Amino acid sequence: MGAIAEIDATEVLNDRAVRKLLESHRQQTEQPLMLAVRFSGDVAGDIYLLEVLVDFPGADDDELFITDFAPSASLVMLGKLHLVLASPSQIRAAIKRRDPLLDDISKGSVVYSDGSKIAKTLRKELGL
Amino acid sequence: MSVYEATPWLRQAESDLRVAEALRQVPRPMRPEDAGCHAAAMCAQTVEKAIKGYMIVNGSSPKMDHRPDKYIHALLNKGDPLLRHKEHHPHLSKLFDISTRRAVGDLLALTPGASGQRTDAVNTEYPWQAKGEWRENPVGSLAFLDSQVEYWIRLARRVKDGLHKLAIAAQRYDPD
Repeated sequence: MGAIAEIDATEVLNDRAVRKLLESHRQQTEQPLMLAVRFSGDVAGDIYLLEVLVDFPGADDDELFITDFAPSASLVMLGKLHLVLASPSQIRAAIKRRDPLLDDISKGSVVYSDGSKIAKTLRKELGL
Repeated sequence: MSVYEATPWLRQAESDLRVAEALRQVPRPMRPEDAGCHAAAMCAQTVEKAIKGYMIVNGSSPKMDHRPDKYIHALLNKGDPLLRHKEHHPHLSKLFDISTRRAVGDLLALTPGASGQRTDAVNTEYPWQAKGEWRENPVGSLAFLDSQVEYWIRLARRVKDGLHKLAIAAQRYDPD
């Protein structure tokens, strides 16, 4: 019973952190958010989030960009945040080269879409 | 200082890089020999502004001189207070490997004034002395051959994109 309550508390806290992040990110005008996918990774309890951004810098064939963040005063969560950032073209290139990270991402769930044609196509290409 | 204050610096760096790429196409009324030094100057500006923007991401006010490469060593030291975003360290180590650090230093040294009061320093804007006489100028100089400028553009793109990605990540981590 105690273990279940602990898992629930982690989920509630982390769900809230993801909602807070997305609320903030969808309002950003520089590199606007097109698509966000929450997925599971190696560490249970950590947050894994892919954000596809319009005008994210870098070449199409750049590796997917991943940074890990610890909890902070402005982002309360349990575990770490693993944030993957990419442009639509970088996602397409990753699909083409069968990037292993996409195995996890394609099992995730879409938590934001701007409703654009490109976002819809990307969802399809990612199998979401 | 807000991480968002880095944005104008990175936006300008991106614009400088676009100009460098455009100059390499020798738009009219430029002559082919005009392109190299001016494109190299824009590459140096790209790198300078990208590094300064990244210092702002870390809450520091960079000195308004032309040698921000002096901060790179500190940024590569995980324990240095100049690196506020410790999670960036692996990316910075990869971005600024030894050859990139050396190349960044060489590129920024081409900015006029970056080598102090020397009159014999090759640079992107002013004539320089050889054997005590004003003999050389940037336009058409062997220092700015097309292959060299192509290298500077690739370097500037790599540094700008690498630091820009880190800046965007830092901005997205701070939802307040």
